Amino acid sequence: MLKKLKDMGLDVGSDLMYFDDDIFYPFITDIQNVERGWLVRYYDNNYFVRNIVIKSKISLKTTRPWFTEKIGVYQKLSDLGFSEYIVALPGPLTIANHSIDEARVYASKSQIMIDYARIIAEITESYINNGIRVELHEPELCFTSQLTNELIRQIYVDLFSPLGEKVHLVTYFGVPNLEILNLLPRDLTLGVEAISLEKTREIFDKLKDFSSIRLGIVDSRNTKMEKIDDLISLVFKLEDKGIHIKYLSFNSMTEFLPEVIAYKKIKLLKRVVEAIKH
Amino acid sequence: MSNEIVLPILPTSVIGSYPKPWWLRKVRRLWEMGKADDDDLMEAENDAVIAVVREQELAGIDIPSDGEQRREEMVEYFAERLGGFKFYGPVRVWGNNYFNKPAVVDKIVYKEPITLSEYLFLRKVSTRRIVKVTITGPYTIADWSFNEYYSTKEELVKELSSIINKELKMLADNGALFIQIDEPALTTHPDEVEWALELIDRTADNINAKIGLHVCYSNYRLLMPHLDNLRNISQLLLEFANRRFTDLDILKDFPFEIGLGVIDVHSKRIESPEEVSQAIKKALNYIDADRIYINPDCGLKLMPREVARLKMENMVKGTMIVREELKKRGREITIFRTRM
Repeated sequence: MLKKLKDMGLDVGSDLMYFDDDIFYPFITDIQNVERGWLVRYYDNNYFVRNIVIKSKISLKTTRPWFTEKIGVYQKLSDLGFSEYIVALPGPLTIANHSIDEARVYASKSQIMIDYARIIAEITESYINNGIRVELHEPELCFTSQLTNELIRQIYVDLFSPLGEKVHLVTYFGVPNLEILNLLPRDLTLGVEAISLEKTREIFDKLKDFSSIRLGIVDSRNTKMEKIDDLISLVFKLEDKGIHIKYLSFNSMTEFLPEVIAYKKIKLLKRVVEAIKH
Repeated sequence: MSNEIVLPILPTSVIGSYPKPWWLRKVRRLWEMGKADDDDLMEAENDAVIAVVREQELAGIDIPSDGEQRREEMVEYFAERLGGFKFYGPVRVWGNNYFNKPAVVDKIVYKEPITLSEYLFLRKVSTRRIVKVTITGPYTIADWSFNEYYSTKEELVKELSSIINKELKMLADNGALFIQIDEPALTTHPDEVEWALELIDRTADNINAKIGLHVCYSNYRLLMPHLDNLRNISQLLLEFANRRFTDLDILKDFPFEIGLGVIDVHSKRIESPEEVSQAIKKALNYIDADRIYINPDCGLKLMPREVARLKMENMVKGTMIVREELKKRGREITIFRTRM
């Protein structure tokens, strides 16, 4: 599969989450004092994940079995010759909002977020040290209204900002509001979906400040094919506004699409890139 | 009074699907490969319906279904039988479970009755006075399809609602007493819940049967403000075991009957009768026994057949424990209602 994607012109390789049930599992097997909970809907999709039940204060296991297994997988993938490799991890806000503090060991949701953030930042750093970039799946940023400046500072500025553009903070199923965009550090790669951007044009100006934008221009939640001219003109329009588009991608996970359409859309993405380069 | 149908208090039922016997799966595979003909498949499906209806009845279920033995997937089955859909391939639903998500590529057309022959066969083979027929609702068919044709989702749901109304009418006119509309997608998009419920209710307009509405793995609190607008639904069937019976407080002042989900259909662990009875008693803190039906959270099709059978047996045994306690208070029966 990956070889096929490479031949189709994809530049960034990943394990396609083939060994993952979802964004949370088996990732949480590296975390002490959590268990898999019950099935819950993953945002506005016919797609379900099991939430996470916190039994006691959480911490990173010293053995990190899932991380070790993933590193082994990526070592095998390195022969395929992608320009970059990236691995998917849950964002601290998103995983915290899918967690149930059953033992009531945390005083607030913010404390859970911060503990998850510490764990995820440590794993992120380990991946980056192994030459693998990290995409933090953080759709919660598009829905939350409870983030404070202090919380963003503790999570993203203190823990992830030092890791720089190799951390892709990926939002999807919407777009973060202006207040949140104002708070996020500018030195991470920010993933945003173009469909929502089109609806909320005032966001455009804010994106100029980010040093690296990953623009989700192809819809992974509809089989209807986008028109190539529309995509090209959108990219040019955003670049003209001074937005630093470093990556073009799907707007969310491709598993929402049937394989045959996903391939068609990858080819479309590649044609957009080629057209823009010329 | 004489026309009233009486059921034991806390009537037991299933949500719809039940595991398929291995031999039906085998015949279906042969049929897909062209090595069995349509008659072979129908014979196997008929035999399977007889087997699983009998299994439910032996477990003590009061209102059985045909276990959806002829269906592979709840949206796919209807999309395959209506005009206007196209299938590109499977997409992931959870873990490593996939479904064949259809795409709407043309105007949707009702070609012929879809579930009528299923119902008539079920009616013939069941010994129970009431059987249940399940229909995937218009909103879920729309939400679980890619829309390449209709300009808005609401327009697509309206079209489907009108088509399914014809199907429901056909079932009721042929004697179906209990029809369950399955809408697991209902709360997926909170801003659509109000109009979605209105269109689902319209799906059941002028249907002379009991209409249940099944919603699962959802945020039920989103439904609550809109329930008073439902005129044609008499029972909501909700999943509670999966969520460990959190959210039972929504049953306070509940304007309908509740189909109480007491069995987790995503765990092979078999709940004990005592667990089931405890769950029912928790619900009784909020709603009267006269308005409670007992069922699993959702369809059982993903369970091994033996596990499903044991879960149903214990569900009934757990219900019997509570019935015995209610009997001491003189409460043994409930009336089968088509309207609240």
